[in-house]
Amino acid sequence: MKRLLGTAISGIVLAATMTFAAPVWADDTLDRGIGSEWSSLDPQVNFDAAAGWIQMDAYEGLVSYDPTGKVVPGAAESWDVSADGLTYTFHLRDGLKWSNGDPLVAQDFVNGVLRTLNPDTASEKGYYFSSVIQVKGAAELADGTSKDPTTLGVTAPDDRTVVVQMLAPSPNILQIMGAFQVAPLHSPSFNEFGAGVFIDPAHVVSNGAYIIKEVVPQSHVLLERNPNYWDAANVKIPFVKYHVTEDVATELKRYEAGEIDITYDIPLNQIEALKASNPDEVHIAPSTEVIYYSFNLTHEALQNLDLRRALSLAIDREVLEGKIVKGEAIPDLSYAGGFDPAYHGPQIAEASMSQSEREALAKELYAKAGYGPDNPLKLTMVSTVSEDATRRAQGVALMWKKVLGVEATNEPMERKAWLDAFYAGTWDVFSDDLVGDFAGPETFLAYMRPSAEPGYNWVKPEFDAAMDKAGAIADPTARFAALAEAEKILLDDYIFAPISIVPSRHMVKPSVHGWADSAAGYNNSQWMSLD
Amino acid sequence: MVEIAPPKSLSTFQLQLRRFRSNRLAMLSVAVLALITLACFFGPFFFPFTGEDADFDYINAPIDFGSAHWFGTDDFGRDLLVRVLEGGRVSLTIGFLGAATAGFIGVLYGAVAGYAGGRADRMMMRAVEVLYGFPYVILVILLSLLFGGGNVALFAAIVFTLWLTPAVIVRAQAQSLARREFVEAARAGGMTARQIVLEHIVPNCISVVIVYGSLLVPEVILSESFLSFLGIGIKEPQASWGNLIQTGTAAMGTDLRLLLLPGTLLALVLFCLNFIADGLRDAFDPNDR
Repeated sequence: MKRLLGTAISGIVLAATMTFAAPVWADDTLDRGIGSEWSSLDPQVNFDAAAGWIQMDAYEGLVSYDPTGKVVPGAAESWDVSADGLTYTFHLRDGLKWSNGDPLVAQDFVNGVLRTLNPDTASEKGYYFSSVIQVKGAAELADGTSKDPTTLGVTAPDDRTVVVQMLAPSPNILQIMGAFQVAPLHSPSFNEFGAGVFIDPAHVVSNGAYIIKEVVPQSHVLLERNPNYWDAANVKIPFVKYHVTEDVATELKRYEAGEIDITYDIPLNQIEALKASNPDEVHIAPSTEVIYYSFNLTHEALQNLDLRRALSLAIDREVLEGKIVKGEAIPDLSYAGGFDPAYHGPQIAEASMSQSEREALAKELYAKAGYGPDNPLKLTMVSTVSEDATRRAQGVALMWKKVLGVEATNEPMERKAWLDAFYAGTWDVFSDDLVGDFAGPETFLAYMRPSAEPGYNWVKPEFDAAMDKAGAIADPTARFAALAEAEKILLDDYIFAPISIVPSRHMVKPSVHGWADSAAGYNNSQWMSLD
Repeated sequence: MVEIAPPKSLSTFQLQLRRFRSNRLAMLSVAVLALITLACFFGPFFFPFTGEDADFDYINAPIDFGSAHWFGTDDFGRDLLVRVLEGGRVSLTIGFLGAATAGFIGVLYGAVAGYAGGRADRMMMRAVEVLYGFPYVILVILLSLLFGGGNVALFAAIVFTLWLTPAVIVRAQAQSLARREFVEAARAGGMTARQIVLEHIVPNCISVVIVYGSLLVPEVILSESFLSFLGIGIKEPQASWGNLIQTGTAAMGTDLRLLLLPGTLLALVLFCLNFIADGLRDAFDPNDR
């Protein structure tokens, strides 16, 4: 313990002297804002989209994505699909190396998946393999009924081949073979230093275009070009620095001062002004992030379906997003729709009503649930500290007060505390958001499966059955139709109130080339260059 | 026979009051402060809505004395004037109550320590010094964890840190009083220590306490605003000047109105309280007679 503390302190001192000693080379460092501090840099554990950007730079999966979101070969140069669509065989490039020079072999990818699924890792990401795509044996390994790694359907028959066998065909498999989901694991360093190795620049070993050079909590992560990356010759920017930019207004000032090249967000009340003054630098595009307010089903009052329905209906989403939050989010009455144009999913049952009709119905349902002016419902809400999240939560609370007389208070928290609070269940209403792993309905619906244990305490075998049914269909159109049926079951239970689809908002300096807006939101630093 | 009326004799307190009354700036401050206080406590009743009622048809309405919302509305369609008045209610209540509570604890503690003297005094004063050593903001955060946040925690935190100075001041005063002849006489006459502290020491410290107390009120209001500004004080949707100013600074570049109204009122109250404290000090200072 003492030794650990000693190294931690010397690490900080070293980092501090380095920042003072080394001048900032403005031109060879790409400075990116990352919002709140990363919750984890552990590639098998991190479930945070913004920290995922660091991960995408530092690690490379079997495939990779170009800035427009298109699948391109990553560590695997090619892949074959079996006729029944159940088996994918990935062929790794020749001579792949880890950042320390060790050869990168197929088994490292298998080990990464095994570690993700291992219950001891406590990773949220096992559902990619047990639920989003149903890899053979993944569910058993994840719930601990099997401890035998050889039962997993991800195997390495030789050093350059990774085979993924699934129980049901999945057209989406390539969308989750990137670094965020299947980062390989460098076993020697992990076995020696444990999970702490991933935030220890002295020992972390990665396989992406960049390596982690410096980790300063509450400040930044510095990445340096990885000379052992197979495509290092085409990585143009030598350093990438991810800055913690908790406050959007401050971030914009830093951007204007030239300290940051790509911002994490744009202050909502400045969007219009910035669009007028610097139209080429404002990048706003739909993302795969959906906002919904989850109700705590372990609390007795909220087990009442009528009450949950009333709360959902009392929210005027148009006013909320258009006049209060003003962040260009798209109001939404469905959950998984709106991402893939080929998917025609359902909306909540009252979607055809006008807002005043919805509010009248909400009042009726609220009274039916036994609440009124003398006996108001009291709710605590939890949101992140980001400007749009707190504004949205306050707006929702005011609407509930105005329409129903509900007394709701919002507690804004830092992202890490907010995630912890979700699992601790110390809330009535959770200002939830989910960033899809790809722009399609399945990523969202799979997350909600009770068997994936997303933490909603929602017991619904019908939904699981409907998802299983959809999962067995290989034809995309029929599969989407089956998924829409499943979403209907989900929406009809009102376990959450869908609110909106969030756009990504970034300011990008004109000196940065290679940036593109896409719903998938992959903008790995290796594709960019600086003037 | 001509009856000669004896010259009306004035008590010290009356003399002090007369001196205070002749201080124009202080009297003006009293009037302004009273006006603001009245407005904050009774003003909101004259509006058909409260500061927590949102009017989604008038979001970010500008200043318009012809409409229902004189000073416009905030980002959520809540009336700015009513919110500022309600915020003032919270800030002023915490200010005066906090100062009174901190003063009360401090005076008693200081008087006991000063009168008792010796070992008890040393122990009590060391305790005060230890408490002085706590970093203020960290203490507030710990207390709000302990009390689960909200107004009680904020109040406790403010009182907890602010009773120390009056204790030190009163203790010095009490120490010198304890050696005076009238205290000796009281003791000789059989008064208990408790009676002496309450009936002789405390009343004789009052003028110091009034002066210091009037400086304490703005200090408390400022700490409340400061903590609410940092987000560990009064929480939305409840308004206080601190969190209103915080919202105002976020929109400073686009809509100065949100910052100006609560900011001006806070500044006015702080000025008034400081002028009153100045006036009281001048009136009560024995060296000025």
